[in-house]
Amino acid sequence: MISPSVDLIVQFGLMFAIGAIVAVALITIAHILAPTSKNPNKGLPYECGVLPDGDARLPYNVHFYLVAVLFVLFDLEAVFMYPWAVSLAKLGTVGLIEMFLFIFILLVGYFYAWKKGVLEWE
Amino acid sequence: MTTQDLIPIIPELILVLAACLVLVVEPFLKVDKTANVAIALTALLASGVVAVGLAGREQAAFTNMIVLNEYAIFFKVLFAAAGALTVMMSPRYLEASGRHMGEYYALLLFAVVGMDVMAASRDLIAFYVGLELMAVSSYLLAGFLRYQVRSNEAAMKYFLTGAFASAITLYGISLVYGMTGATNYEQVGASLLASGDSLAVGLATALVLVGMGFKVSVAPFHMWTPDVYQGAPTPVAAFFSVGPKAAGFSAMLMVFLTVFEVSSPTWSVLFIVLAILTMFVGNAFALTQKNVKRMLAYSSIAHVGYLLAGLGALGRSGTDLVAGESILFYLAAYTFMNLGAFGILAYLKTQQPATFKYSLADFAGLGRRSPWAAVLMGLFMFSLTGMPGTAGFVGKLYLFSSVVKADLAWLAVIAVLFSAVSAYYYLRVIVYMFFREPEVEYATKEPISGPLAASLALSAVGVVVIGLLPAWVLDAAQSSFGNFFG
Repeated sequence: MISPSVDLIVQFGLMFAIGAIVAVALITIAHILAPTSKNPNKGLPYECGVLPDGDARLPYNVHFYLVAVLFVLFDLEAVFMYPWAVSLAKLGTVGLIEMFLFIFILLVGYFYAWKKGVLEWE
Repeated sequence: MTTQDLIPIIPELILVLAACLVLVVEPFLKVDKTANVAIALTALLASGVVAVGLAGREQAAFTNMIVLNEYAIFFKVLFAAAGALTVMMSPRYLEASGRHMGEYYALLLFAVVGMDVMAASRDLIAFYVGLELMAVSSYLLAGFLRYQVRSNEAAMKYFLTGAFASAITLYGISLVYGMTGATNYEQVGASLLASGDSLAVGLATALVLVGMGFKVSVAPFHMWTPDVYQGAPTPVAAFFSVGPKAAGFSAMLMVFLTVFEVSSPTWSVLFIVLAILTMFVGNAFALTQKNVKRMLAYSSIAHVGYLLAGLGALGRSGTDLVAGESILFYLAAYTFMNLGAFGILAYLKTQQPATFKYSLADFAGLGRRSPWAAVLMGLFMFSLTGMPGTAGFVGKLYLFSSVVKADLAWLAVIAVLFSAVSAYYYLRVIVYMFFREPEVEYATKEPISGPLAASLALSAVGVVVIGLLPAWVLDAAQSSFGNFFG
């Protein structure tokens, strides 16, 4: 193991120093190098060259969010199943039961979301 | 995994199944949520009873990630009790706030599972998973009254500081893993002992200590505590002040005793310094509070300070674990008295949902208005102060004498002085209740709900019984450590 304490100070010192230098440098360099031409139009939001119309912060249906979260959940469930399916021969019956338990818990969540009306779209 | 592996986690399995059941039943319940309250309460009681039934077994499961021993069982029972008392004081309060939903109980059960895992884990990863399960459930519980700005604020502050703290803890764990290539407590501890104390170990120790310090609100990482306790629903604040704190200490005790055994001189000094600071901050700020809920939040910080003094003593005393035992005892005593005090607040809030603002003035004349509530509140305040005959006294006696045994008599003197200061703000509540006339005359409304009354009564019984007959809890605390170094 290579951990005399001096090494460690050097390692951590370098890590923190590089982190700090990169952060400060990027902002400073951008500030110095970026061409500055003051024009009120540059403060406007960019909408593909068209003049912006209205507020960007529109209220939108919370259903989008809920469906997105549900999608991510079951998407990841499928991701977990790939390595499981590949190694199922080695895991045996216990592995099979474990995966069904996992699916059962997610199913409870799915049932809950369904019954709460998350999937109903008006 | 084998079937044998499931035996140590039976109490947790009961809770997880009950939480799933709550979620399945919830959509079918209209207004009356009694069924879900019953499920949650039954599950917590069953989990506690099963945990007691498992006493005497020593077993490691899931490739030594989770163990079943007296230590884990002590905390499983304690957490089940804290959860059950919280569940009992919740329904009426949530109804009064117009947010009585079954999800509350599911979240509470999941939080208790996370706490159980923290106490039972012997692996840094398992510990972290338990910590996150507890924390994520807690964030949601803090923001449960989502139409109240304060509750939202509490959830946001709790989430931000909690996520920050988790990251710091995880960084410390990653350093340990980098040095030893293991995450199992014993393996890491043995490996670090072999390679000796170094700056890297000290850094990892400090990072884990700071991360956990956030979780149990150690000064100077305590800033979120009063705001979160004030904004969260009162039963949730009650739960926060005992559950996650006890869980944090259960994990800290194990992690620092086994993983960081080699750096015990370092963390012992750190804990002593933080103990003094935490006792000072908690007590000094509690003195100035006019809001009883905030006062109790600062007082919980002060109590963490006393417990930290015990941890500091533990680092000094080598293989003598008397400080560890007295920390366990203190946590048990503290659970009952603090849940009781918050329970009274929840009761008073349900009496006057609109006018009761938890301020000291609201307590004026309580002794005449509802004498039972005032007497019980008096009992809990006496116990928090540490008056003889109550659980708080015995807890402080054991804790401070264990500090003296570790040759830290000066620290014990400081702790006693601070708890003498604490008498001022605890007894002030009693003065307001019995010797001050209210500015506005309140009419008492509906009678107390059954479960809430039971919760308060059980807390009071706990405080008195532990105060008068401390031996059985102390036996449990002593056998928890059993043959720790044997």
